[in-house]
Amino acid sequence: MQLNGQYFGVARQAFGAGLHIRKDLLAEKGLKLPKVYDPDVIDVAKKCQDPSKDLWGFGQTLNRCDDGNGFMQNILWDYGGSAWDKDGKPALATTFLKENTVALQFAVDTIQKHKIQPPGVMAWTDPSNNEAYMAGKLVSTNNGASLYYAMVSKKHALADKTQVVLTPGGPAGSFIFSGTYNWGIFKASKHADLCEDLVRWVEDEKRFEEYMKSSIGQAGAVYKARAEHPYWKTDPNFEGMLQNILRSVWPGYPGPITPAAIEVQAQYILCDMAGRVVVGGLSPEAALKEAHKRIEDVYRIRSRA
Amino acid sequence: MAVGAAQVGAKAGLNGRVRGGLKRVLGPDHRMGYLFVTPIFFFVLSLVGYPFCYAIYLSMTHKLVGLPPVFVGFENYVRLTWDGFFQRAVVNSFIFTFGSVGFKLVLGVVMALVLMSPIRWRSFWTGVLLIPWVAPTVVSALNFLWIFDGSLGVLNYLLVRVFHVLPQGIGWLSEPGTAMASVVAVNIWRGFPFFGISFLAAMKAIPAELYEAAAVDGATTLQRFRHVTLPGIRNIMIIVVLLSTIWTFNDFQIVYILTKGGPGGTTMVMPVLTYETAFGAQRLGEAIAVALYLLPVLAVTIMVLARYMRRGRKR
Repeated sequence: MQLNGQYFGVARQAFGAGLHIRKDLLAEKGLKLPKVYDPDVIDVAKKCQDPSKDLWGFGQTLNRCDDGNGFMQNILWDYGGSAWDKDGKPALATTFLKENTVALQFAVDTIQKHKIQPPGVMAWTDPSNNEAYMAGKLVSTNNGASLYYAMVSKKHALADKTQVVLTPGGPAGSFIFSGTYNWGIFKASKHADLCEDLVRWVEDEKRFEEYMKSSIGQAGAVYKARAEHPYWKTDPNFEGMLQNILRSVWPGYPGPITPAAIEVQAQYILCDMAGRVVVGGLSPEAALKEAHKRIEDVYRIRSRA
Repeated sequence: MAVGAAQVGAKAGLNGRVRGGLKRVLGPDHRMGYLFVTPIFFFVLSLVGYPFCYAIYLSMTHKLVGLPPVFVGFENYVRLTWDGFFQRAVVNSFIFTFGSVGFKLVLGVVMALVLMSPIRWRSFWTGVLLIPWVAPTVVSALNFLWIFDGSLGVLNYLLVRVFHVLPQGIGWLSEPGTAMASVVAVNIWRGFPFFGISFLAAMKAIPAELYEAAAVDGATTLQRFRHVTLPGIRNIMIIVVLLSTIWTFNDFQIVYILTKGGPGGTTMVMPVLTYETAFGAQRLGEAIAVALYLLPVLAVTIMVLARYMRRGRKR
């Protein structure tokens, strides 16, 4: 519904996510679980990977897909940068140029300098890292809880060897791109009352509990009571997923969520920016300026609407 | 009265001459002809003419999904002209199109020549070679997505593990040197049977006497191909190349499934950019401008094709 120019919905769930990491390989090398990308993830990846056996330390595409989008957005925030300033204006190559340059350089370095990513990672789409991880070719990868769900539900051999931890962060902290789902009812609906009844029925705590338990970490809590449900203590991997949800922020952060911020995601502008450095040979600063121009265009067009 | 009667008479005479002229040009049943053509005329007008004109109008608007269009004249076209991302998409579209069509042409001729030669199970091989053309593109593209996969793909597996040609796998769809080549390769694989089967039909229509006469004159195999076969399939070749150019230029599925235009826009082509602008960014006006931007180039291609076909028919 719309009230005072704002849209309201009924929050249903947030999608749990986290860094999926091979705890068996870490134990072999006597390594601790990583908390930040640099140096933790880099160290773990370098020490555990074995390219001769096609085992790679870290699997995180920067390509045009949701996984690439999420990571690129997160890494800018992790390093104190963003594509937007607090007023919701483009800031990629202006206010946050310094922070964003370091963040982008790090993202590119995981492929070019540290060489902890598998060949072809820049062509990956959303399922690619799931497939590579389940095929035993990755030490770690960022993903939604769907990867852990797939392994547990299929009784995959790697399910017991996997630890899901809070998505690593950077100097400014660990920020997560929010993925929440809401119920909405069209006001022109002829059966708005029935829709409301349906939402009440589905969102009934007992019914949601059944759904949450069968989703194996995917139906993340968006209400305090649900976050405190004992279910989240039943698997050590759930803690990281829950923490991810509690730290999530909207596209547009540190400014408001705006249609322009959503469109920048939809056009994969941040992924293209990374691709222009990795594949196109641009310097991070040049790629940031190029992407900034595209974001300014989006901002200008959306501001006119 | 007398003047009026003369005028009426003159008018009637003129009408009669016009009708007589129409009758001579269009034939005695020309009224019936109008009757037959009228539904088609309105059909084309409503299904082609109106949407096309409306698309041109929308391309000159600032039209976001869910909001009414605002006329902005040529602003979308001007903006696209100076947009680096769009410029790369244009260049990529030409590389993708002409790279694909060139190879399809050569492979198509080879395929037709092989199928013309007295090989065993010719019908069987003809059927096998048509599989890429008849298989749904989505299925083929998804298969190639797996084949080219850097970690799990069969191509790297063969090159690295089986034949030991490479020490390490290649990111076929992620390297600047191979991403475009890979999507072009898939388009070639999918499209060359159309060339081959068309050329085969054209070769079969070449009179055997021409080859016999050439053989009597002492022409070598290469000379017979150059002076008999190629001129014999020339008309079909031009039509097939023009058709394929249009189809390849508008090809969406292969690039979208394999790379979505990535990485970093390396394989971004116009149809994918149109789709992403329309359904990702939800900017319909600009998306249509992207699609129509190169319309003049395609229109000239179509006109050349139509003109050539008409000329062929007159002969």
